[in-house]
Amino acid sequence: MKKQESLKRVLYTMLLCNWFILSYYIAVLSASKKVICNLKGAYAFLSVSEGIPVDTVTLCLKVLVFYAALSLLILLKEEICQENKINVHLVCLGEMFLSFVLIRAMNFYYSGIALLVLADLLYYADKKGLRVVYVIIQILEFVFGSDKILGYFYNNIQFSSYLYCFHPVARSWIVAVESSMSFINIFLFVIFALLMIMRQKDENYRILMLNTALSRKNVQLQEANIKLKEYSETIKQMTEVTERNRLAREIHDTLGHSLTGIVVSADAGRILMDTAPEEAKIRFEVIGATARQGLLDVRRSIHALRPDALESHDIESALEKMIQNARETTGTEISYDQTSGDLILAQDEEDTLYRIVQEGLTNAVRHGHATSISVMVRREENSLKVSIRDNGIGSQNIKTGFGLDYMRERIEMLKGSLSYGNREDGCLGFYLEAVIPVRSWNPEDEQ
Amino acid sequence: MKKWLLSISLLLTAAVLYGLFWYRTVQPVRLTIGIYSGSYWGTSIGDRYQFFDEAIEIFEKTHPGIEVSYVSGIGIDSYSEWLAEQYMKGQGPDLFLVLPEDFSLLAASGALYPLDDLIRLDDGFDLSVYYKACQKAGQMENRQYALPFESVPTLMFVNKSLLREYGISMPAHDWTWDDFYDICSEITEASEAQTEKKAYAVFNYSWTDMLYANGAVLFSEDGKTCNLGSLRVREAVLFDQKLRELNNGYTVTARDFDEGRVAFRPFLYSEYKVYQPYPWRVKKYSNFEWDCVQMPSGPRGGNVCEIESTLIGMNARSRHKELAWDFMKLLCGDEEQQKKMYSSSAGISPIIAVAEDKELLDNLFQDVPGDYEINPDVIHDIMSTGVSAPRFRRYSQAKIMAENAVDTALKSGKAIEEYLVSSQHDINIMLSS
Repeated sequence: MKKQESLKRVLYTMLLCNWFILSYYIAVLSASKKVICNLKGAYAFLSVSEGIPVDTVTLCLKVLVFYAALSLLILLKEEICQENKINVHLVCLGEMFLSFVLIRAMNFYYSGIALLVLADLLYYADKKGLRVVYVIIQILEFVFGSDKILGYFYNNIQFSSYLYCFHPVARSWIVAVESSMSFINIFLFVIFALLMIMRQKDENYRILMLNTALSRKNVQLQEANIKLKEYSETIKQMTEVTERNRLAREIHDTLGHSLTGIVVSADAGRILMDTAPEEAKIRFEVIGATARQGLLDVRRSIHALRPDALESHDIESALEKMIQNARETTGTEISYDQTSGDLILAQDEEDTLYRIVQEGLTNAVRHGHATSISVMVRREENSLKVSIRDNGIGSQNIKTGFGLDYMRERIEMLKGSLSYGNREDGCLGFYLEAVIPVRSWNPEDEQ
Repeated sequence: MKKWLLSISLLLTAAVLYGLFWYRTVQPVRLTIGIYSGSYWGTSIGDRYQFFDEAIEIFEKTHPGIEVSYVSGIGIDSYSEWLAEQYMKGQGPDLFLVLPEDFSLLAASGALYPLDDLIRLDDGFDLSVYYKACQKAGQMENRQYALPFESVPTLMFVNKSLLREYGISMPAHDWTWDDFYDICSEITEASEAQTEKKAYAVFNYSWTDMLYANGAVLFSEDGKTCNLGSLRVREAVLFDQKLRELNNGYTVTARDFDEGRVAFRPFLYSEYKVYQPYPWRVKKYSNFEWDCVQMPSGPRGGNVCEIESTLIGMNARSRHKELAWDFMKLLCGDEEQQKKMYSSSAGISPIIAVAEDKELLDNLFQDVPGDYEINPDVIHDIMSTGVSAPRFRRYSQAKIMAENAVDTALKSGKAIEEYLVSSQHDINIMLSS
């Protein structure tokens, strides 16, 4: 950033320097013309010249206008371009054009303006191929823009011709000042170029360092990724083990306990059947009570496995919450359309409905890579019909995994049906349809 | 901050441009012309400024809102320098009179605007109204840079009284070098015997005056080659030598001529025009009768003389070229204006119809005694056969070289032809460098 500042400072100094040089040339020209006219040497001057002398007033105006335009372009090009590449090229071309017009207006007495624009182009034009062309053009302009080369073809009076009217001492002073000013301009350009080279070097070094750091971080990231994978595998296994243990303990505590009681009571009942039928009756009652207790326990256990959302909310808001959550976490567009009125369902029906939607969304996002999913829940006679459609890639050969099997089992337990497959309505994607008979809508079942 | 600066500067630029535009529409168009007082040929009848004032008045009437101005008081001697200074200082006048010797310099340096396009696009203007030689005076390298304004041919002055003294009749317009030489030798021989009031044949008639009458041109039109060694030029030089030998080494002076002791001298038409009619004739050459005839023709040419023309050119930097062209046409191409010029100045109008206008000529020479020799037919002969010296950048330099070479050759008196051929070579080298 510091280099950037000094580059700009050198460029602005060049801008100022060139302005002084142009003014100097115009001042010398006007002075010379005045001296020639005072010496009554105008006719003699014309006779030995190859053209007519420049009109200093017009020259002054032209230089003023063109140089002001060039300075504006140089100072304000960042504002004008706004990072637009075409604008950058237009500005570059504009600067080059103005520099040529200025050199031409100055009758090719001074071509240092080409260096000023060259410096600016080096600094600003970034597109590699065109920059080379610009640079070459400016260098040619600088070299051939002198009055001894291009000026010769334009039938010009050479600058030195104007100086003959001065006293030799004055003439050498004028030439000395002229050359040193041009030299300062070239010197400034060299400094500018050096700064540019240094900046480029710094930039390269910085990029190299960044690259090294980046690859080191990359390696670290890969290692972390592998560890993370291993870790998640471990967690999965641990969860399975914990779950299995819990289920085992649950079964042992509830079913095991009840079944043991039932087995013992049944054995006792069989023995007491003949000897003490009254006693046996009591045993059977115990068996019944135990079995009922067991059933209660099992229900409680299953109850413990219910989704949290259903614990704290009713099914409708639980579904809405889940879908909203899925929208937020996956970024998928999900439409939810529930037209079956108030959902008053038994617990197992609620669970199944919840799991179907959950599993359907998960599959659509994970396997189908869908970006848009529609979920519809509607009543069909005494059943609830859930359909989930997505715009994903569908599935060529469906392998029913744990999820779908589990879903089908749940639905069949409720005497419902499940169908799924690739969409057949001409669109890409997957569909899943479940029909669940609702007991509360079916008076026969209720009984 | 920068955006603010940008909009301010754009606004300022627009304001300045609008201001300039406004200023130009409000400002009246001013056309400037560069003229000198007096006549290029040193003799003048009328007031030069009056002619231009009247022309300006007519022009301003037909072009309302336009002002034409000029700087008065510039003499003929300082005119070229004044014009160069105008170019030096900046713009210079839009239109200006161009002296014959300045034409090539101004045209070659780009000071004059080439008129070809303006002429081509102007249906009402035709270069063929001018005598060929006059039109060519404004031409360089096949481009028309200026229009002829006023022309003056060279005639041969004849001292009628002297001829009568020696019993020689007035020569005809179609006389030849041989006729001329016969008269000269007759006069010289007859006056040999006299000791007092000796008469001389010719004054100031040199080979450069003879060239055109022998169909010779010293330089090619493009100014690249010199013909000093060609047969026609050599013949002129030899005739010059022959005439010189008549005087036996005596150089005839202007005083001899003024005293009426010289029979012939090349004479500008302007002087004829000024001094022949009354009252001016009493001022000069009043002690003898005189008239003018055409130049004698050489063996390979006709009665051809050189015509010099002053021109009007347009500044290449003029901002009002169309207007300047209109005014130029008024000065150089309008017959009424040219008639005025013809009657008020010493020259001949370069426009054929004006120059040969019988009424005008009768009017001009009504005070000439006796049968004057210059009538419309003679003017027609002189002007339509006359020649303008080719104009190119190094004309003056080359001409001086040629004159020096001939002078040296004539003085050395031997091997003139060889010397001319070698000098031609030198001049060609200079011209092609």
